[in-house]
Amino acid sequence: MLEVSGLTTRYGAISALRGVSLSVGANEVVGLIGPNGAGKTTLLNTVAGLLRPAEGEVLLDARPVTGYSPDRMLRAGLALVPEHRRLFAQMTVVENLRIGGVTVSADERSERLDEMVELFPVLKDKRSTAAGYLSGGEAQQLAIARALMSSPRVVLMDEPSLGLAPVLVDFVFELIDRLRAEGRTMLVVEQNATRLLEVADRAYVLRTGEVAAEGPASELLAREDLFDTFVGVSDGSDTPDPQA
Amino acid sequence: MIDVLQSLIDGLGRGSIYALLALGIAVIFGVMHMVNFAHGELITVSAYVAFAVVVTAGWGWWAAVPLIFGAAVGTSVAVEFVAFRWVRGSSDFTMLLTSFAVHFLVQAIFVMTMGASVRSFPRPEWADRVWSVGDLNIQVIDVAVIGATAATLAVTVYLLQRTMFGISLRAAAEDFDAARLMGVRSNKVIRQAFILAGALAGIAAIFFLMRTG
Repeated sequence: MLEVSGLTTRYGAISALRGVSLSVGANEVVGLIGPNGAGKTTLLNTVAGLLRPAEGEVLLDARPVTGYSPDRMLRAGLALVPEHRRLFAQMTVVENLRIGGVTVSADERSERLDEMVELFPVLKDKRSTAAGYLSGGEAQQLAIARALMSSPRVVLMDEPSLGLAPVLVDFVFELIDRLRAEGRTMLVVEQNATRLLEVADRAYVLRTGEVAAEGPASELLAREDLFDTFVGVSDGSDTPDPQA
Repeated sequence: MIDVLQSLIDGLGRGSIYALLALGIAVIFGVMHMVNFAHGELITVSAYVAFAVVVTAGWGWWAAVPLIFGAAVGTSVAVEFVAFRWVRGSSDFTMLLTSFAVHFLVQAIFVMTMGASVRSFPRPEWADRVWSVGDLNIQVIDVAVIGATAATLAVTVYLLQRTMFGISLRAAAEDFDAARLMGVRSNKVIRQAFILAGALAGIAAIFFLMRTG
């Protein structure tokens, strides 16, 4: 469904991504893990159209969509839940949801808004609250709901559990599972690698802008050597004890 | 007390025009983060259109009003398309310089083609009327300007708060990239911002020109 091949993205002279290739099949949850600075967010932003790749190709349903603008990418069926949510803080919850459905008809938007409020009951009582006043958990749910307003077939999520209380982290991963059951395709970046690998079908490990490992999530979860990659150390001299 | 009330009415009558112009500048600044120093040129273009309609063609103000409004909106959209679209995403300094360039270019074009001498045209007859309420002298043009400004602001608030156009504009003003991620088209939302700014300037221009002639 989503194919990325040889993707290279540069910030000036620095290559944040170097020839990354990956694929996400229909109705699949694919994880993207790796240490800070590995290029995970850059990859999502490049696929979503916020950054232009220097090289490489992105295919969505076998159609080339490389270099599409973010709004065009959304209309093609791919939505991004961005890092740090990027909600419109001065706008109300309902307005944030409405802007998420700017590409659909007014009737469909209203229908989707009701569905989102059902799916995320916490938003029900906060409809008129400015997004900037929401708690971290409420804001994250709003960010996901906003991305779902356009009924995308592919959802990219960047650190959906970042800064959330444990109970809300559980909710986010249950939600990912639920969205897969609804037939959505997802590419998820997450620092909580263990939790992500428990819910994902497959995963890629990024390191310094390249794919360092890939495979079924259950296999990657069993590979203890990947822990070093997750925390970004290589010689083991300052590797923290994962059991600590 | 009468003096205070008189000053208040006079001030509102003149300040309303500036409020409409300032709102247009704020709309552009919100979306593009640029202070548009060329915004005043919308009134310059509108004034020459009014002169052509009222003096040269000899038509009345009934014909000038829609044409002044259209000229401001059209010029605003044209300036975005010809000048600002090409520097979008550039540094603030580049965009600022571009707005200065448009400002001086428009002035230079009119000086070269129309000359530098002051031109005037007859104001509408009703604009000079004065209503006396007790010791207060209220110019009819002040009442018209204040009323039109209040109505325009009410419509603008409705547009910004209740319509998808307004929500898109506010979203783009708050976080342009996030708005694009939601499906807001950058060309469209910026063009709409310039249309709104041009419309506000057009209404300001109508009353400014009716007052000054």
